Amino acid sequence: MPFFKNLFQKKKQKPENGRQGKPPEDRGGQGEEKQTGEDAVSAKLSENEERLKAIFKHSVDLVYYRFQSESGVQAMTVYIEGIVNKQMLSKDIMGAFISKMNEVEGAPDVESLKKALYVPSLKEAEKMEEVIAKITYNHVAFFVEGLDKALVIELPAENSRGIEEPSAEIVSRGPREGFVENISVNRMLIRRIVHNPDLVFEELNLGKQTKTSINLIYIDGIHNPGILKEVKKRLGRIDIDAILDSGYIQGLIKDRAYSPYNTIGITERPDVLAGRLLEGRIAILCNGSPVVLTLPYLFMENFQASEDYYNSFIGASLLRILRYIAFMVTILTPGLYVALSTHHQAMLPTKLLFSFISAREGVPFPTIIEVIALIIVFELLKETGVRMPKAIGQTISIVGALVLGQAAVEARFVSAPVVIIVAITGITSFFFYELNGAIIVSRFLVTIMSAILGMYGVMFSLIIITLHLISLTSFGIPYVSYIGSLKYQEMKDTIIRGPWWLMNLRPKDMSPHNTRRRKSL
Amino acid sequence: MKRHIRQIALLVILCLAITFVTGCWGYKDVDELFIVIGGYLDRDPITKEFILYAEVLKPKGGKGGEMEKEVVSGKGDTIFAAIRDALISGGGKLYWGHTQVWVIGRRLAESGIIASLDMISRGTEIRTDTNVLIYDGDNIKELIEAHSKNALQNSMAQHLSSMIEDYRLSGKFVATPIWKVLSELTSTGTSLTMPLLEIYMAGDSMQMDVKGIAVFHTDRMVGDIDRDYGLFLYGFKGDLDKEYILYLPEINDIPANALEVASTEYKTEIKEGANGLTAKVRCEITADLTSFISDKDYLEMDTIVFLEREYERYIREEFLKMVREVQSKYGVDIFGFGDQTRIQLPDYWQKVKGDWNAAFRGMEVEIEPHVHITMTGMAHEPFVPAGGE
Repeated sequence: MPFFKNLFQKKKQKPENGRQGKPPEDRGGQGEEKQTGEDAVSAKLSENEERLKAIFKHSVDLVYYRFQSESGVQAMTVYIEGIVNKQMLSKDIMGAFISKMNEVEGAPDVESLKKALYVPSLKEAEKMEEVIAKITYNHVAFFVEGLDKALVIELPAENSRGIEEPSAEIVSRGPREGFVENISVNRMLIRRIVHNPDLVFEELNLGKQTKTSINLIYIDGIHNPGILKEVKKRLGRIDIDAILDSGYIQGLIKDRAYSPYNTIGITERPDVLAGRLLEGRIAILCNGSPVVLTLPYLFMENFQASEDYYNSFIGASLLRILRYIAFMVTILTPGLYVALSTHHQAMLPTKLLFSFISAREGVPFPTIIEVIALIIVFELLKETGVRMPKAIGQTISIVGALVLGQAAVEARFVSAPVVIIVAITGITSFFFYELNGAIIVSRFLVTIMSAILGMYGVMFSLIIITLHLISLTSFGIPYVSYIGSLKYQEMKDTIIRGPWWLMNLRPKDMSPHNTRRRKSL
Repeated sequence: MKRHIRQIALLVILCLAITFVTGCWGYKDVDELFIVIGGYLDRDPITKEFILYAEVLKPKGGKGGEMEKEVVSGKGDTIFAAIRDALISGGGKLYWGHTQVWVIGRRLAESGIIASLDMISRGTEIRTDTNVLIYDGDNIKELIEAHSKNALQNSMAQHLSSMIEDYRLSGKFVATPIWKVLSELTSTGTSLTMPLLEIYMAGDSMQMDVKGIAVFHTDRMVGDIDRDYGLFLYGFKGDLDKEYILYLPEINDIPANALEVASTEYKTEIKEGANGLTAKVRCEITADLTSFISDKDYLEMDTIVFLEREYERYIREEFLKMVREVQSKYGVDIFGFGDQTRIQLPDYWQKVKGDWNAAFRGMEVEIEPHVHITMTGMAHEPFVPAGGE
């Protein structure tokens, strides 16, 4: 054991060294930006223009537009083409400036400009650095000759994708709206459901290069302040070049980075998000991603669907039980088949054993190779089906079903029971698209262990999986919370979905200060 | 990942440890197994070697997934040696986990079955719910050959298994799985009985049937009793399922009848008398009248009472005949009176348990049957032939 101890201690020290080494690099990177942006905004338009052109390396998408008011005041707008609303720019800013500047007496100052322009989101910037940050994100910079300040005006272009039903979360009953890439549209979608001043969007920017806008969403009073503090702490520690999707954040603030199980939930549906917010959860909205993160995320949420809450609780409860069964089936079936047919033939009914034997007659590979190969082929087909353009996807399914299924069995490459078993595990795994990676890992563990140890292996790997799940937490809350609970209140929305008139309380861990959902009768 | 090296190492060590501890190394693909469906044991009269026949099912090949039968045989001084010998001729390891039936030849049974049962019962593969039968013939090979000549079922063992299932409701014999054989074999108060098979010619084809019930003294077969006694023997021992048929043969002017028995209850009272033990058996049978050949109206109370008395007389006669035959002919307590004595007269049992069979031989047995016909099950009045009355 001293060997392991040493190993362990060494590992602990290394990351600290790494951290110490990093900051100088960071400073170097930032310092460069500062040098260019340190200077204050000049009072001369041409000077400003030259400097911006130098900073943006004469990039063609930047528009520098000079014009003059009727009273002869020189001005310039700078913006990135395509990301600002040109119509508003020309009508409400440039038009207003040209006509209204006559009424202003003397040299133009910020106050007079604010009076003249028609836009609400107008801020002044004294440093070039601020101007640059705003230009790259939906803003127009407005310079006036003789004024050593710039005005930055938010004018986002309305060219986002239309609101569609998310393809990953299709329901037969319930709202059809899904989030889009534009963060302000997403905010609007949430506001449209929760009309409440307590709904809070907190803004922060992440990514040294991308400066991606991130929103923390929660309902004040319902949320758990402790969890919010923890989320902010973890977000504050993020040090990365770019955030291109909410998945980056998910990977960076997750509790146990090496676990294949998700401890942060995702959704593309505003109604699902609203439901989770109302249970005291906190959401992270990331500009450019239609996928919203919700946390804390519990294991049982994998088995819940938004439709459960819209349909009758009896049917929903049965479906939920079915999902739990499907989870066991998708993880255990290949392992059980291998264990029973290679170690414990006595446990099979005689007639079933005979049908296994005759099916395997002539198959050259051992059962375990057969099973693992077919699982890999299935995952390949699945992955191809997802990546392929829709039109070709159909071909893949035909090739997969006919060529691989039928022909492989007839050519005696694989036996028919294995095809059936892999098909069952494949179909049942589609229940849990968020658990996809975890299911593949768990299934392989069970299958390989069962080939080595038989039923012992199945039990052993089940114990490992269970221990792992129990050891997980999501922002301080045990991952498998409520699943084994025998408390009346906690059982109502776990294995079953209780009727609404019985669900009086919110989950206590996530909403400690406002637990009552409705008055009980 | 580096942080977890310790945990991963521990996990790997645990996994490896498990493989050493459990000894679960038996990875074998199903198609490499030779599934033995029936085992047949006998003894060579001259060399005294054990002879083993194993009925193996193998896939026929092709699409249908049919299985074909193959018989492998082996000889040896012990059963294990015989199995090993069979392995050579079979060309692979025999798998006994799905054996449905064991048949032991009469010659082997008469010389003692412990030697053969020991291997069967203590082997890890063989299930203890496998049924054991005794074959009433000199050569067990005959039995296997008899089957293959007119094979209704795929294999002999399957045929025997379905026969055991079919006989369940007849009350003529009760299957004896290995665990039951062992428990009766080790009991001092009950002697072992097992079903006895026979082969006979029906026209030009050979047929198999249950001939009777083999009676054992310790582990040696001493003889057999008629299979019709099974109804009373197994009824008395409480082994019969419900709904068996109690058949009253035609005697004098009473036509043949049959009852479907709903419940049977035998109660025995053992008493110590001057001339040894007396067993008073009280038998309560509740039954429905299911078939009769008569023009009498069984819906009438008088007829039912009359029939009940007739059944009681018949049971008394047959039961006592069976007990006396066993007492005089074999002198072994196959009924379990010994166990009753042990429970009811523990002091007396201590005296006689050394030679219980001697005490059983001198035992006076009385029976008092009560038959209750609860339903006649007839929706219509009986048909009266034209011109009959």
